[in-house]
This record gives sequence, structure tokens and C-alpha cells, in this order.
Amino acid sequence: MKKIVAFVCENSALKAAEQTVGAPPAGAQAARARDAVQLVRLPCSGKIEVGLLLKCLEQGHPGVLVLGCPLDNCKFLKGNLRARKRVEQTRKLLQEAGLAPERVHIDFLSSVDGHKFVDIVQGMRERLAALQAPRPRRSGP
Amino acid sequence: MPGKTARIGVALCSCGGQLRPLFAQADWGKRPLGPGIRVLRADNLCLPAEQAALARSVKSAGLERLVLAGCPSSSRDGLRRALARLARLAGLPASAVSLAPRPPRSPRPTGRRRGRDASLQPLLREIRRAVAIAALMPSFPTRRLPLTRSAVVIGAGPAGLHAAAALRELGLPVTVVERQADTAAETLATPRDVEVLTDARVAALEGRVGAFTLQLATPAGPRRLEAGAVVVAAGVPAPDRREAPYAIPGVVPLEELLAAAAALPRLREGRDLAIVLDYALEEGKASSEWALRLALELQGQEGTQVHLLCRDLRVAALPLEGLYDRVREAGVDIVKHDGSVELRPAQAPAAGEAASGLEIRYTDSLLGARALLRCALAGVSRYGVRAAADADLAAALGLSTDGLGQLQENNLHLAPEATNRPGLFVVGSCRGQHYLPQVQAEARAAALAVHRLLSPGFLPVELSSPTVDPDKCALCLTCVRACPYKAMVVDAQNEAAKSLPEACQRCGICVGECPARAIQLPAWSDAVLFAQLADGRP
Repeated sequence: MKKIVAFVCENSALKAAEQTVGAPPAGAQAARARDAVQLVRLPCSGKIEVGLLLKCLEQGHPGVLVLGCPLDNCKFLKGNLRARKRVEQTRKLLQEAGLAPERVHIDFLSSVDGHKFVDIVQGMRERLAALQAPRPRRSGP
Repeated sequence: MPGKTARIGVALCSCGGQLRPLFAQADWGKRPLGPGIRVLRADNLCLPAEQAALARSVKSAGLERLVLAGCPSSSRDGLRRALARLARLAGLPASAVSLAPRPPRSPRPTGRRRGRDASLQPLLREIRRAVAIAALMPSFPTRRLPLTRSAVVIGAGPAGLHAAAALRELGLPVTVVERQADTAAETLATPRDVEVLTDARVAALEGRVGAFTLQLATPAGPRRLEAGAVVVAAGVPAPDRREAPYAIPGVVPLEELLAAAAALPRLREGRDLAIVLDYALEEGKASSEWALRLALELQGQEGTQVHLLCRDLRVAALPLEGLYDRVREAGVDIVKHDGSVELRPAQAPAAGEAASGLEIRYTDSLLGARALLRCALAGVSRYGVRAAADADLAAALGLSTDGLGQLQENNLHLAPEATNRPGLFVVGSCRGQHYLPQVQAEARAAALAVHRLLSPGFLPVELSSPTVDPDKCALCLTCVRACPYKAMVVDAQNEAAKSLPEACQRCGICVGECPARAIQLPAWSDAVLFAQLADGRP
């Protein structure tokens, strides 16, 4: 069973995700959130590419999260704004292909927002559970 | 891609004692890490002595990559700091070392490995994955770029001259470039040994951090200046002075308020006086300081109640907050308006009686309601601050601006003197700082930043910046426009874009933007990202 992929900016989102292990605010809910995602570390959320997001879905992951610094506070000044545009583009492509755009989602949080990370993952899991369509996969022999 | 397999080491720090079982190679179980992977251990890597010892082991084993793993209960920041110091001591670049991610907490141990600590399996998986990624990491050569050991300051106003003086004190040759023919340099003393070029406009900026060339336009013709760093203190255009209704009896400019108050007849029932800021234009800290000092003095006079009307009091500077506290304690009434202030002569209280004093109508921004204040006298400030700096200069220097047109992005990752371009610094009103005590402090900070950049004599650069495939590059210039640091340029010879490693911050935005997928960031290549995805087991 493939997990949700979370592309995390190492300056903010990765640290927030790490907060959910060990010391509070981790609890059972936080542990479940952390277990539910597979983290991929990026120097900046602005590095994500449409092809990479689609590739994750192709490989059978149910959903993809992109998590970056709060808007106006990107460590590299503009990366999160560009990431937002690219995720919008990906969602439009998914919609045109007849797939659920909810499978790709972008959100913004700072390095101390461990609780927000838990909420974002929980929200994604709920949206994915509500989808009736089968997961997009490459069909073929 | 590495030509030969790099020598990789794994360092285990077991201050929590949880990693002891892993210390002997045999304990790695049926899937050892790989031939030739050295396992080093430490009891507490936060201690400098242990860092030094481990660094020595790394060097003597000739290790080129290092993965650090700590107890799951350790502080991540502590491990990161220890790793950074370890890398420095062992002479390894940042890209060659990594911290094994902390595994998610597994609710149940797998139970199969009796007699061993099964809860270490997730950490082992993370270590193996980190080792696989370390094997994919290329080695990056470093180069030392020469530096021009001098600075140029743009603007000979207070900010520019303070910066120039601070730079001179630090022993750096500095030239000041001023657009106007006459300057504040006549009223402020020009620092010694500083050349001020007046009537000189900056037309273009070329070169790289550490070796800039400024193209100047002067009446005598074009001129070039070489500099290692540039401090921008270009100021803002003078504000319009909007006049308040000073024709109304009882309304005076703020600078005349004390004298007018002294001339008022003393009444038994006391008097109300008003100070009005932000009447027509947004004001700055200097106006706040002025108003607070006036308020304190007048409130101290017998039978006087002062009302201070403002949009906002700007007290974010060390002496001002204390001054504000004293003003409140003295009993001054501070009221916030939303900008719509009307002053009118007072209505006569009854037919036949003489009217005296003023009525001030305003919208109280806290109550959201219209309010009326009657007073004998009102001092209204007519000074505002202009925000937008010279847009042409910003474009010529490649500086990004914020929503108000100021020469610095509104991002808290930027230090007060920093801009989006390495080697370019900014001070003063052109970035929104009008308060002179802080301008002085920030000018010194900018000079120190320049000194830190130029004093080593060379610029160490790791050649790990993005690579562009010339076969795919269509010279669409998207990467050139997208780079926040202006670190992408066109290489005419190659007919492709090229990254400047001395300015590049390795963020990867260009990689994400390129429509042709022609750009790769070596330390974060697709192979590295997919390796992180690889182990799909929960």
C-alpha cells in the first residue's frame, strides 16, 4: 500500500514534520500523520516539477503533497509562489485527463508548525478517502 | 555523477544509548550496509572533543561522504549543528554530509528479530537509504575567485555617507556616487579619504559578486568603476508637503505648537490641546518621536490635557518605546484615526456667544465610529515619508522591490542590509528606514557585511550550481527571469543559459521553471529524489 508522498522544503516543512516524532506536540494522531506520508526532501518547494508530481501518481501513490515556507517568507524569496503556480497547473492537467485534481495539494507552513503538518495530512487523507475513482496508474502489460 | 565509488562512512551518535546495539558491524543483520562502508561511533557528538576525534577518524579513513545517525530521541537541531561542525573539521563540503532522517514511530515492533532491538529496524532503513543517496552524490570541486577589494556607495545622503565612513574605518577603499550636482555632503562632513563623485548616475551594473563594474553617466562622459561590493543608499524623492488648514485660527504647524500654547490665555478650567500626525501623509518614526516629546512637555504644564491623534505611533526603536511609556503614564490621551481628519472652527455654544477653539472630527479606527474632539489649539504635522525609491535604479541594479517600491523584498529571511543579490547591500530610506539613529546602525551593519565578504581576499565557490544541457536549452530566458538572485546568465558561446556559482543559492527554482527540462541541480538530481521515494515499505 503506497503512502501519500510529501515533497517538503527542508527549511520549513521538513522541520515541522520532524516535530511530530518524539516530544510533544506528538501524540497518537501526530504519529499516524507521520506514518501516513513518505517525505521527499527538497532545497526549496520551488524546485518541484509537474512531471515529478505526475510520476508519483503514476507509480501508484494515492496523493501528493507539496509543503513549503509561508507565502512572503520563502527562504529563496520566490520559490513557494512558483510552486503554487506549478501545482495549479498540475491540478488542471489532472482535471483535463479526467482524474481528481484533489490528489495533488500544496500548503504552506513554518518550521514550528508541527500541528499544522498533522492537520494538512489529515485533510489530505480525508479528501482522498472521499474520492470514488480508482487511483491513476499506468495501464499496460 | 561520480566516476569511482566514493568512500562512505556512517557515524552513529549514541548519547541516548539507543544505538549501542548497532555499534558492532555484525549487528547490522542479514543486510549489511555494503562493502567498505565504515561505521564510526561516538558517545556524544555535541562535545567538541568527540567532534574532533570523529573528524580525525574520517580523515584518516579517507572518507568522502558521511551519514550521521543519532538516537531517535535526540534533538534534530543539535544533530544538525554537530554535523555542520564535523564537516568543517573533516574538510568535507556540506553536500557530502547528511543526517539520516528520523524514522516515523512504528506502533508495533516487527517481533521477528528476537534478542535484538526490533524498534531499530526503521532507523536502519533510513540509514541505508541515506547511504544509497550519499553514493549518488557527486563530488564538487571548489574554486577561489579573485575579489576586488573596494566598495562603491550609491548616494551621498546621510545613509550613504555613514556607510562610506564605516567602510573607511574598516580599511576598505570606497567611492561614493551621487546623482545630484550638489549634495548633503556639504552639510554632513564627508569622511576623509572618500571620493564623492557628484552629478554621476548609475547606468548599468555588470560583473559578479566580488568583481562588479558600474557604468556611470557623468557630464564629462561615461565612466566605469570597479568594486567588490556595492552599498545602495539612494534615498527617496522628497515628499510632497501637504498643507493643513493653517488658515483656521487655532491650527498651527507642529513646529509652532509650543510657542502658540504659551501664547494662549490661561483659563481656570484648563485647556485641551491636540497634536495631529498622519494628517495627509504617512509619517515615520522621527515624527512619532517629535510628537511624543511635544506631548510630554505640554502635558506637564498645569491644567493641560494633550490629545495625540495618529494613524499609528511608530516606536520600534530603542529610545522610543520608553518615551511612549512615559507619555502614557503622564496621562496623554492617544487616539488612532483612520486618516480622515477634519478641522473646523468651533460652533458657538449658543446664539450671541463667541465661539472659541476648534472642533476636530475624525473616525476612531478602534471604535470604527466618527468622533468629535474640542480643543483650544491643534498642532498638525505636515511632513510625510515617501516610500517608492527610484525604479530605474532598481532595474539597472537587478534589485527586487516590495509592494511599496522600496529596494528590498519584504521577506524576513533578508537581514536589514541584504538584498536579493549577493554583493549588493541596501541602507536608508530607499529600503524604508527613515529614522536616523537606525540608519546609522544599519549603515555600519552593511559595512561589516561588505568587510566580511571582501576581507578573505578571495571568494570560495563550490562548483555545485545547476548544469544546463545546451542541446535542450532554447534560450527562452525563463531561468534568467525566474532566478531571484540574478545568478543565471546567457553564455553566448555555448548558446545556452549558464549558472553563476558565486551567486547561485542552489534553490532549484530554475530547474522547476525550465520548460525544456534542460537544467539539473546536481546535489538534488532526479536520481536523488527518486532514491528518497524508493523504499515504499511502510
